[in-house]
Amino acid sequence: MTILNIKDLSFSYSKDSVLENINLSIEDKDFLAIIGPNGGGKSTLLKLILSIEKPKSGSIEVFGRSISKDIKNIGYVPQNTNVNTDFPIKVIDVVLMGHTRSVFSFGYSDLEISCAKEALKQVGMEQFLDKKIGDLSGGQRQRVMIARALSTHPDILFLDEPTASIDVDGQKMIYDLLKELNKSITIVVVSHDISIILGYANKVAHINKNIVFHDISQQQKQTINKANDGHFCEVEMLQMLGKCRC
Amino acid sequence: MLDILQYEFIHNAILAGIIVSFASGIIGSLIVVNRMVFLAGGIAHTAYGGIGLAIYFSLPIFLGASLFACAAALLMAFITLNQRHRIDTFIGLIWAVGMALGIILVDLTPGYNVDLISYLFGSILAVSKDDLIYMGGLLFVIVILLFIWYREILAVSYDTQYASLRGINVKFFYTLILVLSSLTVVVAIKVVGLILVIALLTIPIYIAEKLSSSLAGMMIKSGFISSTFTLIGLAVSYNYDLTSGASIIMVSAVGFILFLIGSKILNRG
Repeated sequence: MTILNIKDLSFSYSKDSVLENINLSIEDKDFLAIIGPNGGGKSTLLKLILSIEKPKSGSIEVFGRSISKDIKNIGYVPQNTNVNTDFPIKVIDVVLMGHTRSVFSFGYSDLEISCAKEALKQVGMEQFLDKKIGDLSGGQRQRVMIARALSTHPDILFLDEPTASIDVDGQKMIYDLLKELNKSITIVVVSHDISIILGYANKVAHINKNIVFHDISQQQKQTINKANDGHFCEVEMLQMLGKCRC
Repeated sequence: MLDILQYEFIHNAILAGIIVSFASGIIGSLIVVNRMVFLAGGIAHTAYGGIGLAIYFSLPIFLGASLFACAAALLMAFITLNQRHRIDTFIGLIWAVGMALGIILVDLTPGYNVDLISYLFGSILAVSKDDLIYMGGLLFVIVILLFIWYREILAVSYDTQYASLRGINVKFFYTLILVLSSLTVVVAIKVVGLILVIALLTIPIYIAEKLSSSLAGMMIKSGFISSTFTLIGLAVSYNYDLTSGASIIMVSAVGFILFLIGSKILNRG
């Protein structure tokens, strides 16, 4: 089943175009890594998919429907979860924000609270639910943000630079969690951390105004893994992906 | 000292102090967590334009100042939501122009000689029954709106972009917070004056934020802390014959310093 289908998408903030002729399609339970240089349009593409920005031309379909604000089955984990850490709020209340109410009610319903607790359990943070968000480490806070996205039971999860400001152990923990989640839902990660993400993703889209798409689910991944001696710099990586520009 | 409690103007002052403390505690919490302190300062000073307008057209001061401050809040909401660059410059501009307009209107008012200082530094001892009703009404409206929209206001304050993705009307709630701020600023002007209003909207809030693990808790604690400072400040002002607004702020500042020292010592131990 095709989850996300982008056709001939172009976008510009002012005169200079940011994205040109993007075509991309991902299937159920794919793990897509969107990589590329800073300013190449990775985050803009994500904003377009989430309908924060409107495309200049082309179309984006999620679950066969054109996107709108009603995106209950889409989960989103924003970049920079280290801002606003002084805000007086408990972990559970952050996760509860994943829900919005359709009818008026005071407080949160039992169902919403149990969904939030379940989501915290999924990311291994259930023992922290009464802690203040500012008292957590960067990696823990990132897992809470993932729980917030999971609390509405999405079919696809988008993450924008989920490991940008987390130490190495925390990064591995996040990616292992995503791998586990990937068994049941589709994952899309925007990252410049290509050396790590290649161990987990089965598809890679390199975005620099244009898109170069790679399906690395089969044999290609083995080649990459063989060459990968623990560290991979972006130049080596791009050279390798460049060779097989299919 | 207790004999002062027999005067009606003291009763009014105490009640006004408590009501305004809770209104500014709630709204100040929203202003601080939304990083709108400079905006609130702009609105406070712009409100002087409304005071000038009210004096010139002989309207009730609260009415004139509230309408004008609301208009300023809407203008600032419009600018901050639509203009991404140089927002602080625009706020500074509205700040100065509002104040200048107020002063010119007061100049133009024939035979006018009411003391400007009472608006700059507050006149809590001159609070009337009508003022109290207005202040109480405002606090009531703020509390009701919070009961209805606490979830949305919390979501918008904590993570604006995420709230907007979840379908919450961010622009509406942002504007609502600014409008409520402008109305609160106007009643706080009566207590501490427009120069010092920012201290009332920040000092108790800062202390409460450190002591709270929820936004609602922060609002309530801010109200209690602010009431304490206001009442002690009022007593100091009466006993030593000092300007009430300035006394309240100095008491708050002393409280703030004691809090900082206390939390340093506790953290070390």
